[in-house]
Amino acid sequence: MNSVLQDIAELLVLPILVFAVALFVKGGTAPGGAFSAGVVAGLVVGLLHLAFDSRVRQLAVVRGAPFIAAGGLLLSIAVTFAPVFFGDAPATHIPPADTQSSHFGTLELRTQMLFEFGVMLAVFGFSARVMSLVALVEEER
Amino acid sequence: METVSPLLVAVGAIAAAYVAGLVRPWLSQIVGGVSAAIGFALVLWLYLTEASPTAVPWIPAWGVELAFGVDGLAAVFALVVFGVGAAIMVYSAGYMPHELGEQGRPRKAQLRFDALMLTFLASMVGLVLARDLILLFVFWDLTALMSFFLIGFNRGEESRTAALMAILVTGIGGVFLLIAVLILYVEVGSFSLDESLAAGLSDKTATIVGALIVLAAMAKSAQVPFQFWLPNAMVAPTPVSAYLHSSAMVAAGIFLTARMLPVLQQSPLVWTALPWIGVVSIIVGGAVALRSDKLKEILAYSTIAQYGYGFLLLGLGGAHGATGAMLFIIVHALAKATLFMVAGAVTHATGSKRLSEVGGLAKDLPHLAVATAIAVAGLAAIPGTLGFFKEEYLFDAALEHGPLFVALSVIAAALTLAYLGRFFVGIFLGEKLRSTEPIPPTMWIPPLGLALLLIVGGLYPAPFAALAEAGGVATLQEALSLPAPWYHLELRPGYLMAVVAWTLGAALWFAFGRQDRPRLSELMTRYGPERWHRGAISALDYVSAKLLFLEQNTLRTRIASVLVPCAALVAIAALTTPAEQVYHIGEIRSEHVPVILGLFLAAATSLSVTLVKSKGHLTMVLALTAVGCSLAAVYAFLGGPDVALVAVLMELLLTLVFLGVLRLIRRDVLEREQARPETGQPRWFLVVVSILSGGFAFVLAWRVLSHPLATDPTAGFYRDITTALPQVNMVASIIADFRGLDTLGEMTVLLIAMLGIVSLLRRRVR
Repeated sequence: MNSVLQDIAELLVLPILVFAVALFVKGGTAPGGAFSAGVVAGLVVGLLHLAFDSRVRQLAVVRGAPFIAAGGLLLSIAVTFAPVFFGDAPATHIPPADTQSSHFGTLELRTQMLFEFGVMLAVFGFSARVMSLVALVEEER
Repeated sequence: METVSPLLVAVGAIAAAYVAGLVRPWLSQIVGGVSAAIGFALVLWLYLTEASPTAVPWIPAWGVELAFGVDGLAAVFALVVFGVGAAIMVYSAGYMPHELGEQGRPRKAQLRFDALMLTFLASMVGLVLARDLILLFVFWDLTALMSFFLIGFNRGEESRTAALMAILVTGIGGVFLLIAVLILYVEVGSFSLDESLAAGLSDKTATIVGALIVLAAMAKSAQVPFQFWLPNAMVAPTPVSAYLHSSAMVAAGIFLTARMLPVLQQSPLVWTALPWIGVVSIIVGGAVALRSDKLKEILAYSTIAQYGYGFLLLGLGGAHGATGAMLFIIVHALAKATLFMVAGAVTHATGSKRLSEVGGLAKDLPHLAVATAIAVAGLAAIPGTLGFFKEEYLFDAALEHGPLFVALSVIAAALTLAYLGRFFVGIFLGEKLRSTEPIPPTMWIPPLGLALLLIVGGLYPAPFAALAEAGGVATLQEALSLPAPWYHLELRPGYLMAVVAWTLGAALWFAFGRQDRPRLSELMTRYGPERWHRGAISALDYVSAKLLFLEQNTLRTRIASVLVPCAALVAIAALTTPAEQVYHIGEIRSEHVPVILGLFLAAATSLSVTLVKSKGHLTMVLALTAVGCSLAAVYAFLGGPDVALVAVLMELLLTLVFLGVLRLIRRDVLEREQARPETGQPRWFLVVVSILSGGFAFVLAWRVLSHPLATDPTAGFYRDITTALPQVNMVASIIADFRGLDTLGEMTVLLIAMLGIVSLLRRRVR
């Protein structure tokens, strides 16, 4: 039973991550968005912990989860406060809100996307870290 | 843009020094010292080129800006902060390894120390450069916060108490400052410093604002009756005492008073009281310093007395008073930092902290002896040092105010000579009582360097005087023209006063400085304002212990004590507001039926689960999840698929975590709790509380959901402005643009929660 679970889990990792990215990209025009994408991506880590044993700890993404979370927050802070150094108010985005921007499919290329990316990283890091902790404490027993 | 650069250098130094320290431990002090030197040069250049202030809007809705400028006052303080800071960084390179070694702490702790010191330096620089009142307040509190961490740097109960005392006293002063700033804003209409200083205030406003500002300054500068935190703060490592508690943080009180002087001058009451605050501190501080035994305690009370000088000078006002206050800041910072560094070095060399235990060290520690002699001469205004001129300004200012202040300033100068002379003689002359160990060069070069600056100033005072005068100009907001200070070979009244002061000082020293009677400092601690502070803290402890005792012991009654008052308040609100159109039962269409059935199922399951006699913890968790998901279904109903998606996902995540944590509790403990009969409360109590809580939640949810947010005016506002944009992603424009700072705050909370979880669970995971 365990090996079946492990095989399925292994197969599911990539599709779930693709789904998370899709949620993020579609977030503007359909239900989705940064928060959902982050949690879904974090659930991948939870799935891996459920299926496998402590080897999951070695994965770079699991070890780096808190740094990813912090990095996401720092990215969002940087995007928000960078305009201050150029004389604008915080949270002024490029291009300005009332102009068109270039598109990549349905994705609008604005600095708001960077901000949302930071949010996604933070939420992913949080979910992954919390689930890892619970799983790893259990492992220690 | 340029006037922000010193602050940026200071902030950058923190990161740079920390990173450098990770590479090699001693690099962090070097980087810190070099950065401070760069900052010093930057401020000097900005001051000499008269750079104009820069401003960036920060909170446009309130008119708060990030505005920084280098005027004379800012230049004086910033140069002092950077200059002394550089010396202290070098000194701590020699001092801290020894201190940390004694306490058995790893070298990594030094990195943290350096980072904290540099953060403090950055906050001081921000404070003096700020030209916006809210910005000023933020940096004011930042310095208090850094002081808290630095005082509490050494482990132990004493350090904790002292750190708490310091931040409480200075923090309450900070609250006074904020109230003053807000009152000023109401009257002036702006947070800008220039506008606030130029405005004419009504007498009442000026008095209230002035009094609050002076109280804040007194708390920060440890003036009587707020002085008790400073001697207690001496438990901090010596570099902290030498920097924060002699030259930088306590100087912030004088800085604030000088900065807001135009406001203070508009209130006759505050203006008259100001010099007297100084006088009281001078006398109390001086008297206690004359009798103290612990080295750092002498210097602490001396600092209290010396900052009384500052208030006296500012209060005496006029050209002499303001310029004298600026020069005094420079002299005091140089001298007091030197003296503290010497005290630390002496303790390092002899292992003793008391004056009575050391003596005759002049031969073994000649550099320190010279540095101390110069520093004492500087503070006691011996000719040949820069300090001589500061006293001249004091005496000239006092002469403008009549015989009473002349007498008081002579007594003040006398006291200074008395207790500082005792300090010098007690350490370096007389018979040698203890053997000494050698001290590293990093511990005697900085104090000697700072002391030599005093000699340089004594022989060539022009640049120092020019700087002080610029500070005076900025303080009084008017042009001054004072003769350049120099030695005059004639009998001036100031010189006469100085001679009288020295004679009186020597007399005081011989009379009071050498006897063995109960230490004044102990009497002060037992009966002075510190007693009230400790009394207030223990009263608060007592009240909170009583409240805890009142609180119920079981989880059930604790929750009931929250839910029942909630229900009562909601019931009051529901009954007293008109009910038409508030509780709205929507129409039920055929496509809704499956979801409604699902919701009924979830509700019925939860109900039956809670009514079952032996409930497993697992079922309770799942029942909670069911409730959460039913809320997500409601969001879907209201046309918010995004919110519904996030709600479901977060619910899932939290359930997983909840179950995981449940797994961590030992199985036998869980089973025991499960099997435990319901003790304590009678059945009817539980039934009543449950019905009330369920009822209030039902009423509240019904009422809220009857008015979906689509009709809310705020939501309408955002809908209008986002639909007007060519941008398609409205959610992103709200989250990242219009409410971007909100989102940042929420993310920070998320990360803090993560840190909390990590620290709670970390103890079990190695």
